[in-house]
Amino acid sequence: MQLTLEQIQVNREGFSLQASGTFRQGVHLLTGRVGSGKSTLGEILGSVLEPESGMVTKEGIRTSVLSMQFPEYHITTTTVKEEILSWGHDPDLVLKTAGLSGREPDDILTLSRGELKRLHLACLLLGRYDLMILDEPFAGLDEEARYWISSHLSDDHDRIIIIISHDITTLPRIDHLWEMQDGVLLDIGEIPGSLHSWKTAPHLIRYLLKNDSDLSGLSWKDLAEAVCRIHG
Amino acid sequence: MISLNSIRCGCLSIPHLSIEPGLVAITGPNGSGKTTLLEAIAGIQLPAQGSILINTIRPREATIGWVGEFPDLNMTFTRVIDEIASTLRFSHQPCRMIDESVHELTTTLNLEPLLDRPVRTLSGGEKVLTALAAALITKPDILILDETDSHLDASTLRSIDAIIRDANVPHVLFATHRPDRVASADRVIVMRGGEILREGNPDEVFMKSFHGSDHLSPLRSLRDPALWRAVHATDS
Repeated sequence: MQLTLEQIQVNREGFSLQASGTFRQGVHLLTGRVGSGKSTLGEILGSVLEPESGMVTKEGIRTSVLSMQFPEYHITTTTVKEEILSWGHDPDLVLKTAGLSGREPDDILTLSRGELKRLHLACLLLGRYDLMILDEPFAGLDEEARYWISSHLSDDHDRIIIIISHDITTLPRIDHLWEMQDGVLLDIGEIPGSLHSWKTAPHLIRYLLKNDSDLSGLSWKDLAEAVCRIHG
Repeated sequence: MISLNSIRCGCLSIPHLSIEPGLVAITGPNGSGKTTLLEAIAGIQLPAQGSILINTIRPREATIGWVGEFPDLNMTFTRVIDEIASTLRFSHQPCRMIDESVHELTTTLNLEPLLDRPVRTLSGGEKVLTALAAALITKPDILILDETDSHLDASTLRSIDAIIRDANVPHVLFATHRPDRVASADRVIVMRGGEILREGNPDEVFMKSFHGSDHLSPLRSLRDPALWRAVHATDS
């Protein structure tokens, strides 16, 4: 199973995006500064946006889903129960998973944005998708929900999961790292092998790499263990 | 000082809360009442019971700057310059004064190259800067940032933090889930179920948060304000 981008190009209003690379089974992190083109690339990977040139090739991928930053964009019904049923899931199971038991009859727009995001992600994680693109899945979520998602994704390496995120403290085990720099997709490489060559790593990762040569990955467990080794 | 007494407002139930001037982080689980608290302090929501005073005046008599999680959703105008000037224009300030204020603020924030750009063509960080400028141009008594950091990278956030620190707004209140942001505050308010669970400086709140059982306790090291101070000290 793999997703290949060949010389993808998008140009719009002063912004241009270029991407080539192959996403194989496993968990990928796509990071980069705000405005660097991550979400646009996510839309291309999720077949929502057609590139102006280049080719997207999917091998062995039968089902795919794109989770957008705004959970409101995914709403298609009026109540919590109807929304869950629209995904083809058991409402009790989804609500238990999302920590929202008892909210079945509620108007979906009475949920807070964080609650709505939890509901949406629970529906998504309980489905079977060969390719999942999660655009800022942790944004707006409390700590418990972020670690809940992370633990679900950590055990799931038999499909292609692409996480677009700035939040470096709650990641699952990451197999491969990509970065968007000014509209260009860079293949940083496998984790942990390429950690030390990640020139634009976030402040926390740079600090850990500087003080702990044994940093073995980007999952929250790896980071927590590295901090413990440094600070005791 | 912001004083809340006997507040009941939606899910909020706060017998008493005093917020001293400074940078205050408000954190807590989804649905715990963070946004409702901020909306009550901003005068967007009126409490069913109780009183809120900002020094000696009520919220709707105070000047409030608000920047939301997705700032462009609340923008009224197409061009950056019109959005930034909008509050002063709505309050019928003289055109010359408005032009001077926009020029002075956007020079400080390095926003001048963006002034004629349509808002929709801006990056996420530029949109936040535009919303921040629109909020700061009124010289607010309180600046509120409701999970504005959710979608921003660390470098963009550090630029925005520096602007906020230099803006000399008496009260800056920001809702956040990020441990690095909590560590950067002068004071922290932790909410749960519409109530104030804890309040104190980042170290005090961090120490108290691990009394009793906590199934996320292995993460303790990543929440420690001392870690984030060390990270920022190394990097600056």
